[in-house]
Amino acid sequence: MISITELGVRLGRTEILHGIRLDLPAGVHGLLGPNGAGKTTLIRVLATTLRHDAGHIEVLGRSFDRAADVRWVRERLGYLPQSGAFHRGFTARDYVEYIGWLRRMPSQDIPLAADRALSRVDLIDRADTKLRKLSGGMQRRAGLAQAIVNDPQILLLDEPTAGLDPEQRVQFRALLRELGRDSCVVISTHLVEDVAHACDTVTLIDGGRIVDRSTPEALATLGADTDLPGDSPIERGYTATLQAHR
Amino acid sequence: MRGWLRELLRELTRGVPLLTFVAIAVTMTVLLWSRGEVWGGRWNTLAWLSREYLILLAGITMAFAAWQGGRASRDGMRDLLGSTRASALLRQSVEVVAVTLAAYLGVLIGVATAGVSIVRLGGWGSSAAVYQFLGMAPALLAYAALGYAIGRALPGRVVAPFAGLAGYLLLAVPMYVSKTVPVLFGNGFLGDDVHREFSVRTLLLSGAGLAAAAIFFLALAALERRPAPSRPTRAVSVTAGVATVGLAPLTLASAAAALDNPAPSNPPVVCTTDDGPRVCVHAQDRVALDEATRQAREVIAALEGIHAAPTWAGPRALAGAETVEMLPVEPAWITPWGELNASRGAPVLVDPFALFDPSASCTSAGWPAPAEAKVASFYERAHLLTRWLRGDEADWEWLASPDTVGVSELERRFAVSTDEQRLDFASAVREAALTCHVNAVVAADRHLAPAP
Repeated sequence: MISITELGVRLGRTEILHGIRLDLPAGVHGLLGPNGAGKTTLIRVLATTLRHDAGHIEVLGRSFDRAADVRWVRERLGYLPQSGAFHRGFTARDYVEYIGWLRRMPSQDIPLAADRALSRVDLIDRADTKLRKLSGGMQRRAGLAQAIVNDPQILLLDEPTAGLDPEQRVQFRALLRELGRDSCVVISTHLVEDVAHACDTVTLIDGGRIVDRSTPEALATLGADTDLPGDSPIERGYTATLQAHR
Repeated sequence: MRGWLRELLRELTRGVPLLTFVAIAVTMTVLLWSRGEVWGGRWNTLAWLSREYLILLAGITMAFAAWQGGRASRDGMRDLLGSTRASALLRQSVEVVAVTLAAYLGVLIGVATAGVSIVRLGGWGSSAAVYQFLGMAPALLAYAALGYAIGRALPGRVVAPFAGLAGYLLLAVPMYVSKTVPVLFGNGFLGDDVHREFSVRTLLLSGAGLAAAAIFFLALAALERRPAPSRPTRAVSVTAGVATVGLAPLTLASAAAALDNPAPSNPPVVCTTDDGPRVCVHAQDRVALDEATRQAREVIAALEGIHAAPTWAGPRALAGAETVEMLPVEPAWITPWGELNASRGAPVLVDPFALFDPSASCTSAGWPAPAEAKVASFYERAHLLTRWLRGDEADWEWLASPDTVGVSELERRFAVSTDEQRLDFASAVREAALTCHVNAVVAADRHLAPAP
């Protein structure tokens, strides 16, 4: 569903991403790495909000080199940015319906789709509350609802579980697994547990480059026999991989 | 379209447009009612006044639109919005139209409150009033779009509205000092003359120009640096910019031509029916008929014996006038509640000065240009006569005092002249007015001999 070859991104003179090659089929894929590794930049490029300077991207068989194809992809995209992005005067329902409209969903389908998305993130009972009056976790769930309102084939989530309590995280991971059955879900996170419990594959990024691609199970196996810092085998496997690369 | 309308409704009921509506409605209502005696009973005057207030309303609209324009940045939404299929032009058009609609609805609220009073008074208006109200909509749209574009560029919560206001002030200065720029900027003044029948052609051209300007500003604001280069937006921007510039000279030419439009048709009048000199007032001023009749007949009696003295008093340009036209009623003395306004002392409804107004065929434009100074002098003399007719004796004593500084020789002579001399003066000035001949004013001086 997503195919990236030799992707390079610069911000000014700084090279943020370099030589990224990635093929992501349907499923849930984690992007794991330390702060400043380039995870958010990669997500933003895939979300079509940031231009890439080198390489080639194909999403759902459409190249990012053609404007018409980019617009086509945007209709089939769901995106949750890292920071809380919402209009404070909107209610949760307003927000989700608004994004549904911007994704060019048929007008008559939007109210029903918005209710369904809000139900999936367990926020339907607060649908008519102004977003600024909701807690941080609820705002994040509203953000998730807008990202899935159009049943996207590509779902890009940047730090989606930040602000969620443990129970909500468990529910959210279940939702991710459900979405990943038909769609390509890409999660950028630095929380290893999210990857361990929800992702089919994990891609480690450090310094703008991909340093490893494997599965959560393989990462846990790698960390099982080390005494590196970490609360779980997968955390230790993550640390071991990064150290080996550096 | 259905989705666009739904989003428009959503924007109208959330945040900035709602505040815009409240601010404009309150401002407009306060402004109109603070000058209620100017428009009392008159749709046309209300429309002209509303259009004049556009100079203030546009600034408020731009400030709020700039605030709206900065919303996406302040709320951290630019990234998310940039990932969606809808073009920025479509997305932002909802917000700009919402602010414009809110501002225009605010204007209409002010107009509606005044309109209730006008309807109650049985007021009169011509289609020119409707055109004036309509003309405000494209102007507000253009200002809102410009403000929005400024807000997009400078999105700070405090910076945006102030930047919008500052941008507006840059436009307001030429609007104040120019006679032609205001036509383009939308407040619709056709030169200095606002009493002509409104030009539909100018309204359409000006409206199209302002709408094109709005689309131009909107398209500028919609140019984004995201991976899908928005060629349609660029094309819209260029086309709208060219249309704006292209329509400007056409609008100006049309506005200039509209100065030759006829004056709006005369409003209906009500007149006295007794045996005395006939006095008429506009129908919406009927409450003032009794008082105006008393005052008018006093003036007519005072003028008895003067050559061509009036035998009736009524609105200007009333068909079938027997002798002379005059403006009997000062509208400022009628309140929007249909009462005589005595808050500033006893109402002076009849203006004797108007007796000496040049006739309709003898407007100031008809005077020979080199004689402008004499025209002014003519009016000064007529004004002196007016004060005398009102019996302002204390004023004359003050004028006659040798200690008074800055009194013209004419005033001194007038102050110490006899009643007979003043009547002669009045007669001469009257003759000057009727003949439209400023040299006759010079002759009037001869009647004012130095004090015996």
